Amino acid sequence: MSILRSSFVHAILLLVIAILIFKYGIHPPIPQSLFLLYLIITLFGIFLFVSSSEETWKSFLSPIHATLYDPRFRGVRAVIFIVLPVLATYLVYLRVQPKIEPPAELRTIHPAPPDTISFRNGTIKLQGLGNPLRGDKEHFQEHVNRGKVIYFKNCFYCHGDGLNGEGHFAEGLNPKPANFTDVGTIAQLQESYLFWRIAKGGPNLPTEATPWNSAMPAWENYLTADEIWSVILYLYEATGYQPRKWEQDQ
Amino acid sequence: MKKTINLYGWISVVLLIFFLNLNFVHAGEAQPPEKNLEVGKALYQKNCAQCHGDNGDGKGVSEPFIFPKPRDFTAGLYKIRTTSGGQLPLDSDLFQTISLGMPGSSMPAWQQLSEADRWQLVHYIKTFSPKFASETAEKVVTTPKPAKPDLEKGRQLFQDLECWKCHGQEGRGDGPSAPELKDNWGFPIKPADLTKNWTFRGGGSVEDIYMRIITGINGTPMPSFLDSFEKPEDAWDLAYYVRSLSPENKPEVTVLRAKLIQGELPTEPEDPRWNELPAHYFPLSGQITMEPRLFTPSIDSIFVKAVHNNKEIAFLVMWNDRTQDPPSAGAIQQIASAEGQQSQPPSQPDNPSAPQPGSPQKFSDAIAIQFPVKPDPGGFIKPYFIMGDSERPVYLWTWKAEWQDVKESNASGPFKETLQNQESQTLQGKGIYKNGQWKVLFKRALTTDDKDHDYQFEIGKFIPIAFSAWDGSNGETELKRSLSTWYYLFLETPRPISQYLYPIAAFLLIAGAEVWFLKRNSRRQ
Repeated sequence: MSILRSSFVHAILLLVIAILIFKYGIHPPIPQSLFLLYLIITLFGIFLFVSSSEETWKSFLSPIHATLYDPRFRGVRAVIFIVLPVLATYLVYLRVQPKIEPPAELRTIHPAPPDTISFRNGTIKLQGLGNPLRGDKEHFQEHVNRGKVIYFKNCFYCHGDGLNGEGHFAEGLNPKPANFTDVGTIAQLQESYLFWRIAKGGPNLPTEATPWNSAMPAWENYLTADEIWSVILYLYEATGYQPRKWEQDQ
Repeated sequence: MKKTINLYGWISVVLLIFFLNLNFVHAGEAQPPEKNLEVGKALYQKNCAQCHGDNGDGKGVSEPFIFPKPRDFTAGLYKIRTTSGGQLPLDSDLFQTISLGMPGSSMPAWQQLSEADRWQLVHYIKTFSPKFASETAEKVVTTPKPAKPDLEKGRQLFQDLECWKCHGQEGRGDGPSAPELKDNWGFPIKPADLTKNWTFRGGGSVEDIYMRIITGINGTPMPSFLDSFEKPEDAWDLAYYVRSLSPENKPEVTVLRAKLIQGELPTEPEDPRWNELPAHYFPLSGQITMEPRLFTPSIDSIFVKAVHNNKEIAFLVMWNDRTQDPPSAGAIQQIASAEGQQSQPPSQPDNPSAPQPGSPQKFSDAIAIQFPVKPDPGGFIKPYFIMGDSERPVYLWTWKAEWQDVKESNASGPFKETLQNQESQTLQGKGIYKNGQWKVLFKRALTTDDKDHDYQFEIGKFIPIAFSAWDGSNGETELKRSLSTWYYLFLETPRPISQYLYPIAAFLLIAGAEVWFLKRNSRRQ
C-alpha cells in the first residue's frame, strides 16, 4: 500500500499544513487563544474526514495499531513509551512555574468631565462650551497655524509628528500618549473636553483614570486659554475629524 | 485512488493561494510617481517644516527643543546613504530615510504617508541644495556577505581602525575623543552607543551597519572606511562584531523580578553573581511635565537586576553615560560651588524652558529608585509618578557620584524632598564607572524600624517602582532628569511543594498507564 494513500498520513499532513497556515499565513498574527480554537476545529474536521468511511477509518488506525502491537515495531514502541512520560513531566513542570503577571490596571480613558473648572485665576463653565475661535471665520487659518506652532513647541515630543501618539518620548511613558488619529479619541469628544484635559493635565484626572501615571502637564501653567483653543483647532484640522457637538446645537 | 487525488489536489490549491498571496504582499512596491514639486512642497509644509524649517535649513519651530538637531537640507549632506563617503544620497536612500525614520532621534517613520507622497517629498527636499543639480552620486560597490563571519577579526579591526576612539572600548560611545566631537555645523555630536542597535539612525541590522561603515555618515565625524580594509569582505567582520555588541532583540519591559537566593547578597557591583541574573529594561523619557523641564535627556533607558534572600534586597542599576560626572576628585570642588545656584524656582508660565545655548552647567551623575512609602490597601492607587504628592508621599533611594554614597529620602512632590535623619539611613550602596557605564548597587533589609518613612518589602507582592536618572554633564539636576512612570517589582517566593508534585504525578500517571498496557499486551500474546 502506498504511503500516500494512508489516511493516517493524510491526517498528519492536513494538521501540519493547518498549523503552518495559522502560524505564518495570517497577517497580522492571530492570538494564541484563537490559534487553539482554530486547531480544535481543524482536528474535529480531520477526525470527521478519517472516520467518513470504514475504509479510511481502518487505514487511519492501522499504523497506530501496528505501533502498539506489531512485534516489528518494538524499538519504536520502546522509544515512544520512554519519551511520552518524560515529555509530559516536562510540560507539566513548565505549566506550574509561577507566572508573574502584574495586576491589571483598569483605567478609564475618558472619565466624565466636571461642569466647571478653575482656569488660572478664574473659572470656566465646560457645560455647553464650544471653541470660541471656531466662529472667527475670517482668521480661521491663522488660528490653525498658530495652533500648529504651539503643538510643535509643546506637544509633539509625546503625541508625535503624525499626531499618532508616537513621539520620541512615548516609549518611556505608560500609559502611552493619546493617538489623535484614532477614532476613539478626539473624534468622539467635545472641544470643551479637550480644553479640560489640556488645561488640567494628568494630576487633575479622577482616580479611575490613574492620574498618578499620566505625564500630561497641566497646560494652564504654560499656555493661555486662546493658545489652548487654537491648538485644539489644529488637532481637528490636521486629523480631519469633527468635534462632537453639544446636544442642543444639533 | 480517486479520493487520494482529490485530497492532494485540494492541498496544492490551498498552498498555491497561500504563496501567491505572499507574493502579492511582496510586490506591493509601486513605481515612483511623476515628480510634482507643488505637491511635494505642500506635503513638506504640512509634515516636515515644523522641524526642518520652511527653507529646509533645519530651523523649524521645534528645533530648540530636540537633540539630535533636525537636518539642514541646504548643505546636501545626508547621513544615511548607499553612496561613497561625501557623495549625495540616491533618491532611494532619501526615500528609505523618510519611510523608516531615524531611530534614536525625533525623526519618525512616515508610514502614515503614501509611498507616492514620500517620493514627492524626496523630489522636493532635493530642491533645497544646489548640489543635486551639479553633482552625481553612484551606489557604492558592496561585497557579498560572508557565509561565516569572523567575530575575532572584527574585534581586532575595531581596535586597529580605532573605532574605540569615539565609540569606546566596549562600544558605549564613550571613547576619549567623544567629548570634543562636532558635526559639520559646529554642534556637539555624540558617537553612537553601539550597544543599543535599536537607536542606530540608519537601522540596526548587520546589513545597515555594514553600509554605514563603508559609506560613512555625511555631516558627522564618522568617515567612510571603504578603503581601510585589506580585503573588502573584512568590513563584514567588523559589521558583525558591532552587531554583536547589542542584544539579539530590543529588550521589552517586564516585571522586575527579584530572584530569591540562599546566603549573603552581593555587596559589590562587580560581584560575578550578578552576571547570572536577568537584566530588566526600563525606557526613560525626559521630565517635561513640570518646570524646569528637560527636553533633551541623554539617558534613554536603564537596566536593573534584583535579588533577595528573605532578609535583605539588593538592586544593581546599570546605565550608559558617555561622561563620568564629576570626573575626578579635583572637579568636585567646582561642582560644590555650582550647587549654590542649583535650586531654581519654576520659571514663569508662558515661557517654555528652552535649553540654554552654550555648554550646559555640569552637575553630578545620579540615579534614584522610587517606591511609595506605604502600599495602597486596595493595591491600585499610587503616588504621583514625579516624586509623589501631598496625599501620597514617596520613598526614594538616591545615589550620587559626588556623594559616592546612597541616601534615603521622602518626598511629597517636586521641591518637597527631605533626606531621612541619620538613624533611619540603613541603605547601603556603591557605584562604579567603567567604559561608559555606571553600575550602582543598592542594598537594604526587607523591613526596617522606621515604618513611617521606609517601604517595608513583602515577598510575593507587586510593589510599585519607578526610576530617575541624571547625566550631570548634560546639565541635569533636580527635576531636569530622565524618568520612568510606575512599573512593578516582585520578590520571588520560595517554590511551593506543588511545583514538584504535579510533574511527578504526571509522570507516574502516564508511566503507570503504559505499564498496565504492556502487561495486558503480553498477557494477550
